Amino acid sequence: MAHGMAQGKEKAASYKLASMRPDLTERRIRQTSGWIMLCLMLLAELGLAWDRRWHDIVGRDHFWIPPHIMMYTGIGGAGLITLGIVLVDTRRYYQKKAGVDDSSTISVLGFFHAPLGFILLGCGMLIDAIAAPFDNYWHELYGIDVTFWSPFHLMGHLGATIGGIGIIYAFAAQAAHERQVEHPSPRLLGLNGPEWAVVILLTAFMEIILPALTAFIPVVLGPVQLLSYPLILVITASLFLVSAYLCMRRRGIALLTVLILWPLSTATELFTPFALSFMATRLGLTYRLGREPIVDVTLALLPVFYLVCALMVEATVAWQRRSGKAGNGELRGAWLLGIFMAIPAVVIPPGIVQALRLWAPGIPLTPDVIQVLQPTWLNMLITLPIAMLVGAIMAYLGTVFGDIWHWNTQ
Amino acid sequence: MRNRKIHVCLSLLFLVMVFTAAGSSPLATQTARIGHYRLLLSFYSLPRTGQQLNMTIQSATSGVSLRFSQAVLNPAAGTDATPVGVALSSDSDTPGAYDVDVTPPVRGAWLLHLTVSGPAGSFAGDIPMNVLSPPVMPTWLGWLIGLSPASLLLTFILMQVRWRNARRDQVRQELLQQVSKPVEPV
Repeated sequence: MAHGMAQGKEKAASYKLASMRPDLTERRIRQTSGWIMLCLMLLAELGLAWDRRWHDIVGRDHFWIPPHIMMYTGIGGAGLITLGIVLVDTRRYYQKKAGVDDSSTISVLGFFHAPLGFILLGCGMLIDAIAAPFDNYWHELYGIDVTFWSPFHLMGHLGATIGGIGIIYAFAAQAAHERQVEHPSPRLLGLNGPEWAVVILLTAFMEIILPALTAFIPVVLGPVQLLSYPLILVITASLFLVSAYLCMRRRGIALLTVLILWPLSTATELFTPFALSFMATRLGLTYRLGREPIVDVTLALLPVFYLVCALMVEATVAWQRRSGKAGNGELRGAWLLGIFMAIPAVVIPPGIVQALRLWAPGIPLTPDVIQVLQPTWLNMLITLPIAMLVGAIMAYLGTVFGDIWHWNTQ
Repeated sequence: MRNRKIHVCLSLLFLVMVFTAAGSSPLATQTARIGHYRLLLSFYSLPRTGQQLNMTIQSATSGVSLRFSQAVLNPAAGTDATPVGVALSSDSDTPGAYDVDVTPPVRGAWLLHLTVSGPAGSFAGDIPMNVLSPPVMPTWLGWLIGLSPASLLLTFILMQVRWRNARRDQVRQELLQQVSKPVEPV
């Protein structure tokens, strides 16, 4: 009891000292702007999920549709904040303020100084801003059904990926710094504030592909089809679950990521049909092909796949720690995890569709789910080795990013 | 000096006349038939994607007054789009003419669907219309621009892989040194 009280007092004293650190202003600037940008990115992500349904059910009638406004508010807001941070940090760098030096910033064009994450985020948002008018132009030329696989949609997705990686870098650098200082900030469930932000961002990365999963249509190769949905699933699972563990080096992180992902995914699936029908009624729009917006139960259940993969990561970590195979919190042979993750990536989505058909035939399935997530066994077998290869490469990249996010303070 | 001022005034007057004239006469006209009625479409701007169409519609037969309603711009076969609502309002300059307010979103063939009411009754029909686009970018150029950030991303990933491998070796070296350091006697 007395020992616990002493520990509590010690912690309180440490937190008090943390609030008196000389670099506190810089840390507050970075973390506050980071959290605002995180909210804006989540807003953009929700807008993207809504936009995907809008394209399918209402049709992209013009650029200023509500989901685009939501999405570009997030992107534009994040871009402007990034620009502000780069300018403020450049000024503070030349003023030699505490916490703004070469160990916590990188130099751009020989003049600007800002954290790497913010620079990446700015580049990503700039790419998105450039892609938007091009995408509009492409739609004007080729129509509204130019969906995922068009040059400027891909440009937008690449921009979002770079921006998303950027904001993870920004928070991971803050987390690494917090781990190194003598008097760290308060923690919740063992994680400091920036670490929580990293977990949320990795979750958002994994969630973003779920509403778009049915855009990954099979690639026809003569008599057989190469399924593309397992590839994107295995990419996100192996990359982000492995990197999540290595970034924090704590057991349970992969599971925590999925526990956050599930409500986020369900909320997205509930929001999109509601927002779609609400705005369609308000704007007097009609649905294409007579399709009413419905809650896509298949997509809401897809986090089962991530749960299986997270359990794989946690089991491997536990086994390696117990047997002493991995020192310093490392994860040996992560590429093997990527290979194994390919199996549920191929099998689970069609499994969910089959289970719903068998046990809950009253739940309606959308035509895109029926078209994409009901492959034949032959096509699944052909896709499996490719998914395994992709999984192995992505798990390796997961170790790279996880290590960098654990170490990097810039 | 005085002559110069007169020249400037005359030039300005000329410009005003030119611009005003351009606003009052259509760039192109088209006739169409819906039911028993012949219609005259006057385009003050050519139909282009993403631009508000500046056009009027009226009876082509003198002395016949028509009313227009329920207008929708429908995509014709081969045009990938959804129907677009059209706003009709009486033209303030020309009696009997209606302003057609619509912004076509996609290039290609469209059908302006409307109902015409007049002395011979009401008829609904379609008027074909071709919507122009800005100059078409070659597909390969579109893909080149669209995928250009991929090179940036790949370069960044390669740099990060190298940085991480170097850093990992350094960390392992430091760990080895810590382990091999002899323990000092207390």
